[in-house]
Amino acid sequence: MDIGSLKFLFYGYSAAWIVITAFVLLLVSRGQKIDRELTRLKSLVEDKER
Amino acid sequence: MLVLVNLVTGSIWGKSQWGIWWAWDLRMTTQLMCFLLYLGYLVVRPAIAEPTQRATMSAFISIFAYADIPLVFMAIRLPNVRTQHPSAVLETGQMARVYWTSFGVGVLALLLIASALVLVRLHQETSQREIDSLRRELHAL
Repeated sequence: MDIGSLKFLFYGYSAAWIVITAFVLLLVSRGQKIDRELTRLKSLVEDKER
Repeated sequence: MLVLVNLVTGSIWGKSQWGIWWAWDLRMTTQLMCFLLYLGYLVVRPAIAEPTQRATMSAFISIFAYADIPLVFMAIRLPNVRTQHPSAVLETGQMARVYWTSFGVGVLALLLIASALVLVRLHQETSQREIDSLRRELHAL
């Protein structure tokens, strides 16, 4: 395999990993936001029911 | 997300093999349409606050977007269609045996990644429904 093809292989893997990593980070951030909101709402409901 | 990966890496492969980043042939154009349709889905879904309306509209867009998938599949199989892509190597048996192991491992890895991401999104969607339900409960109290 020549160096030119390896360069494109590197670009391909880099692009794939960048997109996947960005999506996973987005999912983690969204998950943390949802968990915080859930905890907040649960405590609010408990407070109101008392 | 996987369609975006497919488009970006496919474009890089095209530059390496064909010398061009993009060609408006049927396979690539229908795949781009698929990406844009699902992008529209991802934009519309969080924009609708009412859960039932959100579910109905999302289902409608999702089914509409899925109609593009057979087009993508058939794009290189239709007769009299000029395309950059060769006819399907899996069907004609033209893929060399040496590639089968890496191809199989790649498909398996992709399926595992996709399954994990779907499970995470499912969990988040369940939590989001619980949030919607708690908001309604709070409103009623």
